Amino acid sequence: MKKICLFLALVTVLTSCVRDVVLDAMEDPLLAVYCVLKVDSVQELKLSYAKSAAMTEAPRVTGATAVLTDLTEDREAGRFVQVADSLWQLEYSAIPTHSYRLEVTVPGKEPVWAEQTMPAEPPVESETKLIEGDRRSVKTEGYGYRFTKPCTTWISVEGFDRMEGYSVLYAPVGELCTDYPYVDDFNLTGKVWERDLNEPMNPFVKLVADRYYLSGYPLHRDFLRIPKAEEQKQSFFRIDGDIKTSVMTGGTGGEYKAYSYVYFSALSDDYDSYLRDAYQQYYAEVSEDLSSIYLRENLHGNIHGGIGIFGAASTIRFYRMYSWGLPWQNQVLDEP
Amino acid sequence: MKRTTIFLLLLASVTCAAQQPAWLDTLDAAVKTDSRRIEQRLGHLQTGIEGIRAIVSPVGEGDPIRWVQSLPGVTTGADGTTAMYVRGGSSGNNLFSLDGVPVYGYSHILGLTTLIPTSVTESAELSKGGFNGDESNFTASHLKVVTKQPSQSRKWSAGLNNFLLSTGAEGPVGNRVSYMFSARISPLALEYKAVKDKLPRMLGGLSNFGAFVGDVYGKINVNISDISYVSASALASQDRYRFDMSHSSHETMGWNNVIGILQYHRNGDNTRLAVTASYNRYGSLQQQEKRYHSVWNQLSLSAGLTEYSLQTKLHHSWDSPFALDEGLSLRYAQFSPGQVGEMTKRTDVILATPWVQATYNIPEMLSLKAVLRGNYYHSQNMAQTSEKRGSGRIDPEFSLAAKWNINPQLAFEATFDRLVQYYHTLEGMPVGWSLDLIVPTVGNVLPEKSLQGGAGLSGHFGSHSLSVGGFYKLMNNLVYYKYSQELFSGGLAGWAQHVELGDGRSYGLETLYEYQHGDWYGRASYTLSKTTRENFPSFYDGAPFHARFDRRHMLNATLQWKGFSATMILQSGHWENGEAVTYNAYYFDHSFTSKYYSGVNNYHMPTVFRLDLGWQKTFKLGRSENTVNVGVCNVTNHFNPFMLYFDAETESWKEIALMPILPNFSWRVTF
Repeated sequence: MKKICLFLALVTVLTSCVRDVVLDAMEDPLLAVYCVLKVDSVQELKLSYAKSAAMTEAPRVTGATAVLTDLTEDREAGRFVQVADSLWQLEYSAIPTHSYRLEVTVPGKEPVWAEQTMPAEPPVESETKLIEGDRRSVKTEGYGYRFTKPCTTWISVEGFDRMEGYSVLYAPVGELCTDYPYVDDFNLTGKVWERDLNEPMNPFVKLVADRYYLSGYPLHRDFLRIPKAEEQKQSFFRIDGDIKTSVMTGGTGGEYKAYSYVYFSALSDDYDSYLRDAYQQYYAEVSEDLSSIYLRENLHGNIHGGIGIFGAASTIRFYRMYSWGLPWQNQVLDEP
Repeated sequence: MKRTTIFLLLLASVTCAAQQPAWLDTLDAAVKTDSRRIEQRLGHLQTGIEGIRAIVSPVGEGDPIRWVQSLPGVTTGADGTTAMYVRGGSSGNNLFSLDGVPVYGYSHILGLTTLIPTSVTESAELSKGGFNGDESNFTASHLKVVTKQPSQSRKWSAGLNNFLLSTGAEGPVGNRVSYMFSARISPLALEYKAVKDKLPRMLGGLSNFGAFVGDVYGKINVNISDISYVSASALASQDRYRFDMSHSSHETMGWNNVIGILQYHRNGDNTRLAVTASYNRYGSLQQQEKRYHSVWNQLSLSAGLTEYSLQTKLHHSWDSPFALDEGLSLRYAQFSPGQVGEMTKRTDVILATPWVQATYNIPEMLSLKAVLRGNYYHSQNMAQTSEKRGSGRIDPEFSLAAKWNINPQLAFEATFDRLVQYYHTLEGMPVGWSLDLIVPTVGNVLPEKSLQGGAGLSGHFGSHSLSVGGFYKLMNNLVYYKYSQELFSGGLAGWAQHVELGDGRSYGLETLYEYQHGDWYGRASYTLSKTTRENFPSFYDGAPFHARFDRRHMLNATLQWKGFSATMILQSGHWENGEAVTYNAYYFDHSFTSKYYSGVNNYHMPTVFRLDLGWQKTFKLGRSENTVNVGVCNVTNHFNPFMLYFDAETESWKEIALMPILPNFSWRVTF
């Protein structure tokens, strides 16, 4: 019986036979790899050693060579160059649907490696649709998105943050909601979206706003994850949330307009699993929940001989304009 | 450490000053001179009350578990406590029975002893192989404790020790009826109050300590005729503790048992019949309220098991070496593991086990035994009110045993068993959580199975006896609970989805040496073994890893001379989950420190060493017979680290030694 723990607790306090312990399993330091291939022109690789419980700090990675190979074309895509203490870069744009192999060699250690296939761009398109409201027979055109074929997709939004001079700065929107019925619920915040309707609006907006905003929909933290499913093709859906809309662009008539970016990312399976775990751990780290100390799950990884992730993501984004702050009247614009 | 000694001595003196004798001892003088040597037969090791009491323990005298822990093939759990692991099995793979009825929560008084009073104990028997037909629903060992028959002369007794006050009585009522009664209560809370007022600094951060710990046992025997009798017995125990570890930590925990047994025995010339009906309830609760990151957290777990059983056993013998036993065991049990608030998932199970056992015995030459058991098991989830789904299965078991006396001094013995167990004790509980959660076989959580064989030689050479043997054991469907964190969020209501099944393997060498001559008695047991777990998909890709109590070497030695005794324990350390390595991980553009656990049970705790000394004196004072035990556990004050707990205040793991140098005292008086 493990009731001894109780005994432990008591006798411990009664007798003070307690001492600190560092349970270092004394294993060789593992190389931690983080690299997510993107269609961007520069690929980044982050390398570091894991720190065991007995170490004051992790050893530095020195003399590492990292090679990216395009397995589809059977040629070397390039060699990463160290640009900072733990950062390596490679000027290369990953090609969707191509498979890649990353191999990192540190002198005196066995090479660590992983393989990954770059996903195709997410099959999503923007769409305008007539939405009929049952309140005073209001009809208007609504604006949203639709998948053209099934694909696991992560959606995030960057909204207006602040102006710096004439530059508009954007920041990730922390809480999002959608009327898409099959969204993954694992990152629910526990709150529902309630738009403040006291902001200046014209009478028409006020009339229909509570109908067409996604008020009452559950909020998701940081992103919306859409799992791959056949039903994806059937759903026209909208995205709402705490997307700041108050920026004057100097338009005519003092019209307020706001712009935002909506990102749709197709992730490789490994990166999808990793990111799901990383979400949990990232927020558990700052958690005040005592039960988090009992969490013993590792982040998903695919690095052979090491830890970490070699992932791939293809991202497209929509440049969206809010007009009157109404989601169904938003337009996708050509980016400036 | 000095504080420890002072405190424990103080506890002893407090109980001494109380002058409330309360220990039941119904031993006849003749019994006390019995041999302490272990009786061995076909995989079974047996001892009488004298062998049990001779073991030095923190409560002044031994108990059946302490005796078992000194035997070969048995690994102890935490130092000084009542956990045991037999031939690589888990703690929940052992059956502890009282008069044939399972006792699911046998730990008592902070894990220092068992809830069966030695005053009502007749004998203890450990089976590791070659099991009998009526032993079922376990895969490692059976510790069978048998209570004695009430005495035909009136006796009253009382006793005290560091942790318990007890009293008892027995005697006849008329010609056919006899009774036996025992009650024990722990004065821990009173001792705490006394110490708290006088030496508050001695208690460190402990405050608001409260405890209600005790047990009651009663038995009535009714002789129907010269060959038949009925006995009714009941045992109730309660362990409940609350205390504050600091101003930011409140703990509550406890467990209780209620067992009722009704037995009918008929002993004819060539036939014996035993029928047993029983009621068994076990419940447990543990709660923590801790301030963590400036926020109060409340974690709670409770569990319950209620079982009704009916067992019959019929023995036939003829004027030949051949004998036949057959019987049937029926159980109906209700499990409620891991209740969180109102979230409960009750599962009802039925287990029916008919069995038959054939033995062939030529005294002093050859013994053979063959057992065949069949199990029908059915479980039903009672939480699904709209659709109560159930499932049934049939699993056979068998046991074979043989002993061949090569010559009068030397014998060869071999056993072979296939065993099935339907009640699981979840491994993978969070570190620092003491409760054992017992869950039933249900759905994809299959019954545990073991296949084991053992063989060895035993010899008796005058005052010396020696046995040497080996065993090999394969275990299947061992259960591991993967998501400890979810235990406290209601996740345990769906525990079956979070259980991972794997296998185990254990093999080793067991030796037992005994010496008895005059006032001297010595015993040494040594086990060399290796125990692994494997095929758990979540750990090491299914590769083998250490079982938690995979102690490679175990040496237990006892030396007794007249009233003096010395016990030495030297064991390899057990295995704990090593602390994670940390590394930089990324969540989108956010960098954070992630933990990586390379596996489970990958940190080897230090070797355990303990030397216990004891002295016993029996003397008459007027009409009373008095027995005093004085001893010291862990004389060398060796720090035997046992387990870890998370200190929420410092946010660090700490290592705890259960038993520093620990004096003990007990006094029994019988009238």
